[in-house]
Amino acid sequence: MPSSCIIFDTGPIISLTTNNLLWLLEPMKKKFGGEFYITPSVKKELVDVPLETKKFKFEALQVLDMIERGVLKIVDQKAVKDEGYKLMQIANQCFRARGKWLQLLQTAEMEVIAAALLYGAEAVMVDERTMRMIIEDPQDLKNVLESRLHMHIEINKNALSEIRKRTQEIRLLRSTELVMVAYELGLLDQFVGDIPHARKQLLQSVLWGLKIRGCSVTVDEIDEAVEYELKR
Amino acid sequence: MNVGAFKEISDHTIHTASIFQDHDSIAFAVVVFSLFKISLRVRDKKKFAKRVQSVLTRLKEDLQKGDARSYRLRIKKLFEKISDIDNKFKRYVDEVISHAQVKKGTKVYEHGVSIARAAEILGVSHWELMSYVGKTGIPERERVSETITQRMRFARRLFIA
Repeated sequence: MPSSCIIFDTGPIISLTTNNLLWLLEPMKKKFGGEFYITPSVKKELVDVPLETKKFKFEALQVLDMIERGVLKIVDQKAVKDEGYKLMQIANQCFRARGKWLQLLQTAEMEVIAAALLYGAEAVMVDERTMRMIIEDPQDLKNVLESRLHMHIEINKNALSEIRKRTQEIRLLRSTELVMVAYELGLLDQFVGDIPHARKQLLQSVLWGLKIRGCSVTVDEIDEAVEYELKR
Repeated sequence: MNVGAFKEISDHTIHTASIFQDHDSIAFAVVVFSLFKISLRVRDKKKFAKRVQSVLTRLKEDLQKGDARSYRLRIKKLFEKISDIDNKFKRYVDEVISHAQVKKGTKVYEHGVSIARAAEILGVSHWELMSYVGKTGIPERERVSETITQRMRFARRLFIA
C-alpha cells in the first residue's frame, strides 16, 4: 500500500486528454510524491471501450500509454469492487421520487470512493457533479432533483448519514484545481504567448477548455479562479 | 403528422425515464427524437409519415395488449424500415440515432443522474457524453459548495511542498 495516493475517476482523465493536458499527470505525480490510481472499471471506460469503437480511440491510446508507463496505476482488489457495490446500493437509496429510489450513481463511481477509503487516499479527483454533491452537499442534490424533476423528493436519512459517515474523510478535487496548481508550478509556461495579458489568456484558455469538455465548473468559478491566480 | 410534437413527446418521456430508468421508455425517447430529426431531412415526407404512422399504431396496439416482446421487436425494426426509404439515408439515420442517444443522455444528466450512470442507461460512451455535456449550460445552474480559494488551498498542500 502506498504512503500517499490520489484516486482518479473517469471524468478528470477525459477532461485532461481532450484538452491535450494529459501529459501534466507525469510532472504532477512527481510533485505529489505518491501514486496516481484508477480502478479497473475506470480503465475499462477510458481505454477498453473506446478501443473497440472509432471515436476516441486515439485518446484511449494516450491513456493506455500513461498506464503502461506507470504514471497511472490500477487498483485491482476484490475489496474495492465489493465495497464499491455496497456504497452504490446505499447511495442509490438516498432519494426517492414517486415511490422509486433514484438510481443516480453507477458502481464504477462508487468503486473510486471505495478505493480511496481502502487506500486512505489524500484526495479523489472527480469532475462529475452528482458524485461530488452526494459527498459534499446532499441537501443541495435534493434541491437539484426537485427542481429538475418538478416533484417532491423524499430523503432516506439513514442512507444519507451512512454515506456521510463513510465518506467524511474524503476530499475531492477537480481537473480544474489540478491544472491551476500546474499553472502555479510553471508547468504551462511554454504556452505564455507574446500577446497582451498572456498569463490571463493562458489560464482562461485551459479552464474554459476543461469546462467545455465536461468538467463541472461554472463561469463564475472560472472568473474567480483567474482573478485569484492573477492576484497572487 | 405533427413532427414538432415528436420532440415534445421525447422530452416528456425522458423526464419520466430519469426516474424509472426503464429501457423501454429510454428507447422510445431516442426513437421519437430521431424521428423528429429525420423528418426534417427526409425527401418523401408523405411516404415517411405513412410508414411511421403504421409502426406507431402497431406499437400502440402492442402496449394495449401488454405484448412487451412484440413492442421491443418493433422498436428495433423501426429504423431499418426508415432507412429502407433511401439507401443513402442509412448513414444519416445511424448518425441521428447516435446523436439522439447522447442528447437524451444529457437530458438524463440534467435531471440529476451522474454522467457515468446516464451514459450507461443510454448505451453511449462516457467520453461522448462528457464532451457534449460541457457544451450545455447545465453546470451553470449548480450551487458551489466550496470556493475556488478553499479548494486551491487544499490542492496546493498536495502538490506544492
